[in-house]
Amino acid sequence: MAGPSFGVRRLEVSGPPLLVLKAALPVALLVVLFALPYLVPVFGIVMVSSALILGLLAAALNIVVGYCGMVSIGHGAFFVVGAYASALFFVHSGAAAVVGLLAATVAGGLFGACFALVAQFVRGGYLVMLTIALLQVVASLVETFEGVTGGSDGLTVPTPTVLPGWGDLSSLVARYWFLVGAVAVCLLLLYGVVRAPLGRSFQALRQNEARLECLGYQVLGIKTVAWTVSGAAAAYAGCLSAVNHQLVSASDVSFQNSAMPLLVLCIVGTRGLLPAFAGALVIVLVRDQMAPYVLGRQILLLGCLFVVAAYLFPGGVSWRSVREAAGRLRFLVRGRRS
Amino acid sequence: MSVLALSMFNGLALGVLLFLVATGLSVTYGLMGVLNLAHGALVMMGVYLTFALVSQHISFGFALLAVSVAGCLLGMGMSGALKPLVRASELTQALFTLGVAFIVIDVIHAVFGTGFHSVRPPGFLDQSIDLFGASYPAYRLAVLVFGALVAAAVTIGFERSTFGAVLRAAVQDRDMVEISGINVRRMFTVAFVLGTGLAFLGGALAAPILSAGPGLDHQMLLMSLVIVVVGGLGSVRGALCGALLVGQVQTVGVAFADELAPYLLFATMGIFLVLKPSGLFGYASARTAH
Repeated sequence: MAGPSFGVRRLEVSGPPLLVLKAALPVALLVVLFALPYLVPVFGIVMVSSALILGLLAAALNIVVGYCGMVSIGHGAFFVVGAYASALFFVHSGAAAVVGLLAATVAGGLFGACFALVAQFVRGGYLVMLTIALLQVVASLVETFEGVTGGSDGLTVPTPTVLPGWGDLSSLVARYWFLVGAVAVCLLLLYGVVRAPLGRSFQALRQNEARLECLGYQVLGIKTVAWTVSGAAAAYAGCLSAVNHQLVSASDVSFQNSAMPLLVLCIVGTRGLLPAFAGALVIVLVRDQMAPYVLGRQILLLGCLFVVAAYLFPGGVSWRSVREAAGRLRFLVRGRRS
Repeated sequence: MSVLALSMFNGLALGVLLFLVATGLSVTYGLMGVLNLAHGALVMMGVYLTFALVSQHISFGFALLAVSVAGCLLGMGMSGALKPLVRASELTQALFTLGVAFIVIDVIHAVFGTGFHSVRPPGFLDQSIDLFGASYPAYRLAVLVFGALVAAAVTIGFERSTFGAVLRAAVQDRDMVEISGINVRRMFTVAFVLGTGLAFLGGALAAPILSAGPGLDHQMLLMSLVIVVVGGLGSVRGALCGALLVGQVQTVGVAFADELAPYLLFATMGIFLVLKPSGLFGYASARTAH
């Protein structure tokens, strides 16, 4: 990479063995994911599917939050735009899944670029407010155009084929395999963006925006690209959700759904894209498995989870943060030390 | 009275209520840079508490007082909980306050159910009076007068008293005020307590106008956020102007362009963010805010 590196490149110890390990891990993970239908019962597949979709949404969010340092609460808006864009293609023209994915990506990217027109001017808490407004605008749009979107009843999505005339997705396992493949492709593309010089400038944006501008970079342009990429990836996840759940509805635009990927990032931290999937699996397990037994109220449990996560793991769960959290708890129990 | 005049009058009453609701959010955000996303849920709690008290045949006046005091107490607890997060990242702050909002909303739904509850105004105001040749609900008029009095008191207190002067200084330059030997964290607590108390009072006054139901928290949070953007961070005068503007946009907009009404609010917000990011009377600009 030519040009200054802003000190964002980490010093990496990479010899041949480490390189092999780094390449082997994702491949092994992918093999396990593809073999999963033979290993776990159907309901496990459903859970992992939800976790993959949420994980991809969180990874898309992390482009903006973790790499660029801009907090968004309204990423559910991009997700829903993608879901509706592809669902309309599936319903009205019986398009193939790949066409739907393309349509969702383009729609999400365009929507992200439009949002960036306003968002590039604001930062911090004001950006948080703006993303909340974005979410609300999309929710209002879904309600206003009830004839197209189906409103709160939602839109039932017919099962597409993978390519036009090939690849039946009517069985759960087939949809799961398609999902794993599609998520892997999207993640590969996202890593391509993040590892490129452009991705480095995302990080520089977070670390020192003024310096980046002084060096002659187009800060506004970089922000626009970040929103476009992130919006496109979130919309891609939305399309996968439409294919997988065969339903898109106005309830997808809720605060709760939109805050979920933020919680994922809070749990696993904001470094890299792959950890988001681990966090998503934990969240899905808690949301769908624990909530009925603990307290019996999903939103209450999530709220408690948010509060606890914010207090104990402000930078994501790691060995260090666990030790610090334990220290803080001990401090609370013992009281103030003199 | 024409439709326009009537909806403008309604907008005035709504604006005064919104000022009570939003001013605390604006000042505390300006002071410590912690955006309280649970604000809407707190206002909603005030509305439901009023409903609970009034349905127990407790007089409306006493309910107003009790709800305001409850708001102050809650504000004290909330400001204490927020203090460790003042230096934390925005992600953490947003997550914490959202979590509190979820907890409050779900507890409310568990206790009161998800239906709509209407609150009757006190007996002597539960009627229509003649206003410039049109009948107008007496309660709204009373809210307008009472709310305007409270709003005037708050604005004068913020602009003229010593405490208000120190608060304004702390919003502009917190470090400088701290160096002068003033405990800004304690001021944050006081501002938060007063702000939440006012928000609860606003919710209680609004209870007979807006019925208690789900979705109220989002509505209140969004309108408060728009007011903060329009008025400028940490400015009571700005919050007053912003609230009156939002009140007009909401009522006149609904009266004349029903389909566009939800977008008008955000259009206002977007216009201010792009053209005047510091708001009407704000010191800090949205481009540099924290």
